This record gives sequence, C-alpha cells and structure tokens, in this order.
Amino acid sequence: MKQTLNCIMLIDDDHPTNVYHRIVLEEGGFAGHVITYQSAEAALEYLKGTYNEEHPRPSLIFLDINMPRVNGWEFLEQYEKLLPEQRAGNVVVMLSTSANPNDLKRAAENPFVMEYHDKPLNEEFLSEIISKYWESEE
Amino acid sequence: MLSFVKNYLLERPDEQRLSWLFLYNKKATISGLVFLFLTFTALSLVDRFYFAADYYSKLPTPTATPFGWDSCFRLLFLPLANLLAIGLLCRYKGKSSNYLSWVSSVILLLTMLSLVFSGVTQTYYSANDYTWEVVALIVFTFTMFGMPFRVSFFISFIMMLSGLAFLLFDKVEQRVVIYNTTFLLSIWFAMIVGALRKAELRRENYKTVNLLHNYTLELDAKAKELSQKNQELQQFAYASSHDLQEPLRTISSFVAILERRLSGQLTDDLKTYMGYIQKSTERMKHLIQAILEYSHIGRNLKLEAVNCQELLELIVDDLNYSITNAGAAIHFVNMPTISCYKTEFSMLMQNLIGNAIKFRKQGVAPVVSITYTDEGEAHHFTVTDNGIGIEVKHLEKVFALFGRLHTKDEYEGAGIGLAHCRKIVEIHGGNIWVESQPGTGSNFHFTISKKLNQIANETNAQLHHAH
Repeated sequence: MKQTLNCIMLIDDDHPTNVYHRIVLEEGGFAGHVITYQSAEAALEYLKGTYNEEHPRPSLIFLDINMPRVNGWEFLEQYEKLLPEQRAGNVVVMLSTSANPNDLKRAAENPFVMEYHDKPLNEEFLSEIISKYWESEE
Repeated sequence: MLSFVKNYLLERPDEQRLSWLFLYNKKATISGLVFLFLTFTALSLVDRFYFAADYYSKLPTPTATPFGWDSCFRLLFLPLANLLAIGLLCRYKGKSSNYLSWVSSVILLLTMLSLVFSGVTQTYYSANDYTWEVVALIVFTFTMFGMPFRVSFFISFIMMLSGLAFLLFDKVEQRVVIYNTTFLLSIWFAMIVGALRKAELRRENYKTVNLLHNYTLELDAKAKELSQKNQELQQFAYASSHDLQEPLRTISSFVAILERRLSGQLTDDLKTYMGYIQKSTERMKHLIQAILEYSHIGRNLKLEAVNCQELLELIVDDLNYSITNAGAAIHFVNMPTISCYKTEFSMLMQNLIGNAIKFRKQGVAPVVSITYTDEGEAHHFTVTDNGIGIEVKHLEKVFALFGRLHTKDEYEGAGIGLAHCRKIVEIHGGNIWVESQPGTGSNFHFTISKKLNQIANETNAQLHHAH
C-alpha cells in the first residue's frame, strides 16, 4: 500500500513550479496536506509557529536552491537554528534545475539534506524517497 | 658631493673593480688619459722651470729631456699598456674579467720592472723614488687582481693625500711626489668617471629590470583575470542553464498536464500543436544541455593510458543500437595505447563514429574505418566513412558551435557534436580537420599530442600561478 504523508512543504520562488509539484503530489496521493511557499522567509515563519491540526508539521520539505533574497543554502542555515521539534519530520530534499557540481557537493555535506534531485518532481522519485525514508521505519 | 660619494662610491657593491672601470667606456678611458696627460705636462713644466731649474741645468745635455718626456712616457705607459692589454684580450669573447686582470697585471708588472731596472729612472731619481714606485705598483696590481673598488679607491686617495702632504712639508722630494701624486690622481679621476658611468648603467639596468618586473606583474594580473573570467563563464553557463531550463520545464510540465486532462477532447490539429510545443521544448532543453556540456569540457582533466582498441570496442558496444539499426560496419585494428584524457577522448571518438553512421547515404550501409598513424610528435587518427560527404565550402563550418548543414528534419542534432570534438582535440594539443567528397564520404582527421604531460603541467602551473 502506498504510504501517504501527513504534510509536505514545497519551497520554490517560481509559482508555476509549486503549482505543478502540488498537482503531482496530489494526483499521486502522496500527502494529506501540501503547503507551498514562494519565499524561504515565509516558510521559516511557518516552521517557527506552533503545530496543530490546521498548522501541521511537515514531514518532508522540497527546497529550491536558487531563490531570490534567501536562497536554499541560507534557508538551511536558519533551519539549523530551529528547535529540533520545529524542523521537518524527516527529510529535506534539495531541488535544482542544473546539476551544478558545487551544489551537489554542498548538498552531500549538509546534514539536513537527504537527497538532491533535478526538477521537476515525478511520481517515480517521490515513491522512491517515501519508501526509502518511511516504509523502512515500519 | 658627499651624497655622490655615499651613493655611488661607498655603497656600491664589491663587484665594481678598477680593472673594469678603466675600460668601462670610451668616455672614462679617454677623459682619464687626457686628464693625466694635461696635469702631468703642467706639473712637469712647473717642475722643470720652477722647482728644479738648477737641477736640470746641471745635467749633461744629451740625457736631459727638456719637458720631462721620459717621465711622461713612464707615467703614461702604465695605463696605456694596461689598457692595450685588456683591450686586446677583450676582443676574445669568453675570457673572464679575472683572467684579463691577471694578464694585464703581469704586463704591468713587467713594464714597471723594466722601467725601474732599465736605468731610465735612475737618471733623475734617488733611491726614495723606488718606494713610491713599488707602492704605486702594488696598488695598481692589486686593483688589477680584482680588489674591491672601494678599497682600491681609498688606498689611492690616501696615497694622493700623503703625496700632497709630502709636497707641502718635504721640499727635497717634491719632484717625485708631484709625479706620483699626478699618477694616482689620474687613476682616481678615471675611477670616478668609470664609477659614474657604471652607476648610470646600473640605473639603466635597474630601469629595465623594473620595467620587466612591471611587465611580469601585468602578465600575472592578466593571467589571474583570465582564469577569473573563465570561472565566471563557467558559473554563467550553470546559471543560464538553470534559468533557461526553469521556464522550459514549466512549459513541458503543464503541456503534459493539459494533454492528460484534455485527452479525448483534443482535435488532431491541437494534438499536433501540442506535439510541436513538447518537441520544441525538448530540443531547447538539449541545446541548453549541450552548451553546458561544452563549457564542461576541459574541467577536471585526468591524463591516463588508454588502450584505444579496447576503448573503441566499448564505444561500438554503446552505439550498438544505432549500428544495428543502420546496418553499419565499424573497422579498426591494432589501435595503440596512448596517453590522453579518457572521458573526453572517448566522447570524441563516439561523436565521430556516431556522425559517420548518422550522415549515411540513403540505401547504403555505412562502413566506418578508424586508422592510426604515428607521426612522431603526435598520434594521428582518421575516421573514414562512406556517407553523404561535405561540400568544400562547408568544410570549416562543420566545426562551429551550432553549425548545421541540414534541417532538423533531415538529420537530428544540436549542431554541437563537432564543436565538442574540436574543443576536445584542442585540449589534447592537436588539430582536427576534414577531407570530403560530396556523395562519396568523409575523412575526419585529428591529432593528439604526445607531450600532453608537459602541456598539462604548464597549464596547471599557470593556473596555480594565477590563483
């Protein structure tokens, strides 16, 4: 049976990308809630808030690297300063359009970044990470 | 004056030696000699008619020389003989200054001795004269041996002062003192002129060195700038590929969603148009990818020994699909093992073989043969095909970035394969060119330098330097 996560957070400055990823996630039935943010600051604000029914804690964050103002790396710096319970449940996945070797290396070194993937998200990759990080726990 | 003494005479390094100062240039030599001659003539006249008029008048007429020509000869002979000797020896290149000093000193010594013992001097001077002669001789000889300029300069200076003191306090020996003082004075004078000239030369040298140094700095800066620009360009390629791909990806993503959601409602026309959008975005994606790859060539190069036979067999395996599809035959035998950048070299071969298969004649099974010639300094490979060939006027165009000779419908491709090839061959220190007969086939030639190691080292050194 396919695992459904409670909440997935998408952070990408490109609105159509967020819309598309939301469609992929929803059509694939991967998450109960999909939260999208067009800026890293707003996403951090959300993470700093108290979690409840309407304000669910994300299990998984998809983070774009190349964003204006606060980019993916800067987001991760802020993210590190959050309390452990404020952070996402499990996994942060970095998304990028081009496989820049510098970014790849940095992603591999960052403790919060579990995966690095080229955009766009597709069902195959989503199933893969969900089975890798969630189904194995059961 | 003080600053002159300080700057040019006292603080000069020991490399300045009297033997060279005399010869430093014509100016120093001639002015030294003229000074010597004039002073001596003047002093000997004073000596002859004022100080020692009585003495001379008592001498027997035949031996007396009216203007002291014998003494004049004696004094002039020293520097003249020395100059002559060094000047002659200087004509023979490769003789070291030390060697010249030795020879000239020996000549000088012999001259002096011959003068002292020939009796010429005994006609006029008492035994005391010899002391002076010997001291002067020692100074001169020592300087000729290569005594530091400063030392010889001060010895002669002190001797000159003491000579003047003699002149003032000891009337008996004044004649001799005058001669010797004049002699030392002339040496001193020539030394100053030589030192000045040398200082001038040093300044010129310094200017040249400075200029060179500036040039080197400038070159360094240029190299640094270049490597920086290169890096910027790489970053630019990444950034632009990222930014260019983003909207493309969005287009193709949403076209896919539209197609899915509208399936069943689309007319055939609309389906075709959707297909155009999809295909164009795909092609654009490939182009961007190709630019990125192109900018990648030459990064992280690793030189290794590559068995070309094995490599080509691997490539043929990789191209199996298109080879079978086209019914192509690929021939290569006895390929060598060469030192090259494996990944890039393999890409080069794959591109050329791929092209040979792609640009085949309709209805003719492609035959591709790869041959090798050892050209001493370089490895020379040739990829020959029986394809469509290239017209002479287009021969150069095929290697240009995005250079295409055919429409996309005729032959697929981004027009970047041979541009890649050229860049790869360039990093291998070689050339790539093509001979072709339209309708008969093409021969693609390329060379790989055998001195790649050296080239790589130099490039690394430059990069290292630049950083």
